[in-house]
Amino acid sequence: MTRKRPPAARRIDPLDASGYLRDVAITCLALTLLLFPGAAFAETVPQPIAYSHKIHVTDYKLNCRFCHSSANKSQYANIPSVEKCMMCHRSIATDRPEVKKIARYWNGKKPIPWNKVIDVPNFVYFPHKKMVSAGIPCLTCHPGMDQAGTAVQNLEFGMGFCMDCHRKKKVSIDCWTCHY
Amino acid sequence: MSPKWAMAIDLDRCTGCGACVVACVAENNIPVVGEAEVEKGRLMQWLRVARYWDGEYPEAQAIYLPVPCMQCERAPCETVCPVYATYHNEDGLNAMVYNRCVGTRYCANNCPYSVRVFNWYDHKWEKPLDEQLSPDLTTRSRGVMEKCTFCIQRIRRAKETAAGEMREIRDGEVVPACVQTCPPGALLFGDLSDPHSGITRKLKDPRRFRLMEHLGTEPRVAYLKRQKGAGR
Repeated sequence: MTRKRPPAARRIDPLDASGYLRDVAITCLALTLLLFPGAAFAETVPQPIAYSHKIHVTDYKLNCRFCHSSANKSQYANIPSVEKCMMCHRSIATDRPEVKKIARYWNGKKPIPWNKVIDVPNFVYFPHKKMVSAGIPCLTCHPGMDQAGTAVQNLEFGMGFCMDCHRKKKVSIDCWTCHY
Repeated sequence: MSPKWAMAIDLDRCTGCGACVVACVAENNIPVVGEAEVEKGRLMQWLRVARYWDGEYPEAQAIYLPVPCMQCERAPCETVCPVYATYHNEDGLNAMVYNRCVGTRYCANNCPYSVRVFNWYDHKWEKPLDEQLSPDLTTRSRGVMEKCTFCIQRIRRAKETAAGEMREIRDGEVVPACVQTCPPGALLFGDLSDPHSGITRKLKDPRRFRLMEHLGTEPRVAYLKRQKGAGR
């Protein structure tokens, strides 16, 4: 990829990640990935089943909320129950070793002991349903999830990240909106 | 229009049973500190029922006065906080932000109603008591000031429900734990900016007074005076 110089008349907005800056960003990212494979994803959390978000979301075009069905109804975007997995996997890909593991949990009437990946501190109230109803795409805060295997957290959720968006969208920035 | 939350406490109805205090402790993840700490004046309750004696024995009568945070409109606690951890929010509530608090305790010392409590320790809820903790709000850690929030988690929930249904919050939709539990119905909560709300009508009562009104703190909690001998 070659770096293009921006046209002289064009104003470069540092917040606008298009054009020149995007090229720079992509080049940097490509270099980083080349030098440190795995740097793009934060530390992966081991999970009992090698679930792939990519297969379900990108390849088979499942909506996030098919499995995380309470994201628009509740504070939490739930982890689906074994029953939800078995809705499809009773008949789909039943010969795969990872799917067989689900069946084992299902037959043993045991929940799958997923490990928590994305955790916000105790003093933060983060209602998923407000974000969904405001039309924020899931990938805004969970970038790369559609390409990931088991869940990843590629973004650090600092308060600045939340505030940028809240200011831009002119929604409440009162402390008590999220901290109580 | 942003609401003006307020509480009315009818002292004619209050029997001093303390159910409001219990409800508050259960709702707001308030630790129970134990006898030794209470002796040091480190009781963590956000709402206390103060008891006074009126008259001399055999005619003595107990007077009960539930004292939550007054949510003063001109709050003395706010002006002394060096880190802006307590401030006035857009609903006119006196907000307390735990993750900003550094524990100077200036606010509690400047509160004329002594309703702020301090976490001297990290409090533990032994199993199975941890099961009762509400996930809707923080469990505060050591070195943090806390106080009555008018059950902000319930206000938030009502706001979210109302926003989801594209409407304003209805009168009586927000009910703090103490108000919900009060057996004789002595406590009432509502929005003063709504001229037809129950609280607006209740506070037109001539018995209305506020605690230490001369200080000019403009409390949002108003009391209705007990009438001597009325029905007792």
